[in-house]
Amino acid sequence: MTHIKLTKTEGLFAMIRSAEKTVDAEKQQVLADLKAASVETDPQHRDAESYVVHVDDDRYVIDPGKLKKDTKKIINGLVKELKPVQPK
Amino acid sequence: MCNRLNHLHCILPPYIADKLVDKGSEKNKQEALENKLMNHRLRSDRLFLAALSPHQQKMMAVSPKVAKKPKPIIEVYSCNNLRSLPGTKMSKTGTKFRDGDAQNVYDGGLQTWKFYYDLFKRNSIDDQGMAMIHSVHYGKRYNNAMWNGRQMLYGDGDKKVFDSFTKDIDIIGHELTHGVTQFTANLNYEFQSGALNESVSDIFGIMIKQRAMKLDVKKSDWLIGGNVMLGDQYALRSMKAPGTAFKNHPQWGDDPQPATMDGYLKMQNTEEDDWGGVHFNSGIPNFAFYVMAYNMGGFSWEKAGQIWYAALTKELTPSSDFAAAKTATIKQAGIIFGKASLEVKAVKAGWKAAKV
Ligand SMILES: [Zn+2]
Repeated sequence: MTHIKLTKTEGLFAMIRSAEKTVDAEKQQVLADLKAASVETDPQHRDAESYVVHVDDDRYVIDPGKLKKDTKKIINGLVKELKPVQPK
Repeated sequence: MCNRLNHLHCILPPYIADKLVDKGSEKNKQEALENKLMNHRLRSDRLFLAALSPHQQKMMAVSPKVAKKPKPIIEVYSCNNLRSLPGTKMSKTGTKFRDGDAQNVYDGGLQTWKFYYDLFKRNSIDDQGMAMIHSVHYGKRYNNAMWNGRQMLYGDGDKKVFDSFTKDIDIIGHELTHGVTQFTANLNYEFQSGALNESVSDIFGIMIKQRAMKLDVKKSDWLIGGNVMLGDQYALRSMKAPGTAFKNHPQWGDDPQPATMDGYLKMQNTEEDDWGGVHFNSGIPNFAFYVMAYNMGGFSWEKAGQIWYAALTKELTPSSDFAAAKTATIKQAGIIFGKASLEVKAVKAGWKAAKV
């Protein structure tokens, strides 16, 4: 069982949304897939959106387009369940 | 093609390059090594450029095309719903495109160029005649618009919550102004300097819209993104009343922008916290600008715009915060209109209203 939290920022506008769930997937495989889909943030990008995935204490900034099949399915599922996060 | 414009989309992530160097065939190994070298060079370039002063950056900047006699160079490309940049160049007859989104960004780009040139004699984003490159139809149902350091790109929107991101001239002006800021104050994109960076884009974006539509401070709606967010009652941001651009939105809830320092959001400097809330806390200087422009009356770009352009290009630095922007705008209002002028009083009233 692996607990995954996705946080998406929308870029141009002030929106942060997140969703999380525990899935029946092998943690090491999920981590490897997320690592393979990781991207570096370019400091000159203005208004870029971002996808950040937390798996317990591990954190990845990813490009969902680079995910492999099984992990892509999990992340796409979370994208559909995103709910606004009210910042404090 | 792999150039500085689209390097982010064609270079391999470092760990994949490492793998290829270790385990690939001879040809792969060579390509991987070349790729690693290029990545290293791009990273070094970025670090080197980031360490320069705005003046030095301007001297180092490479413009794709330089016009001899100031005139706008606007190029429009279509990504054809893919994510590779810039895409295919779109043809036009005179100044007319067959594609509506291409027309929107061309017209918005032209209005933006005229705004900066007519009012401030600024020749394009870099003041060196840099081509203004717009790529439309970026990605599939992509809900965003962005400045990537070299060009603008615009998504079509999902057509459920968002329409095309080319529909608002203030958004086009917002993105292009990110380029202007990059070549001038180069405000760091984090915490207050980042929120100021965002606010400068909204401030000039709204003035570009107001000038194109000949709206004075009383007639303007002071909304950013009034067309792109579907539903008449919604917009992305309100400069007149930050925190009221949308309410009970089925997907987004309530607009979270603060209007004053009482509501300043202390967020983390991470992707998931919007680099310290740059798109959130921008509501504070946005509101200050609205109040000062409204108090000055008439057309915003004639007085408040002069003050803010002078502050952006002569006073602000990468680490400037809201207090520095307050000092800079009061100083420039005094230089342009006189220390005892109504304009200085209006600037002070704006910052006071925002509790800065
Ligand atoms: Zn922006």
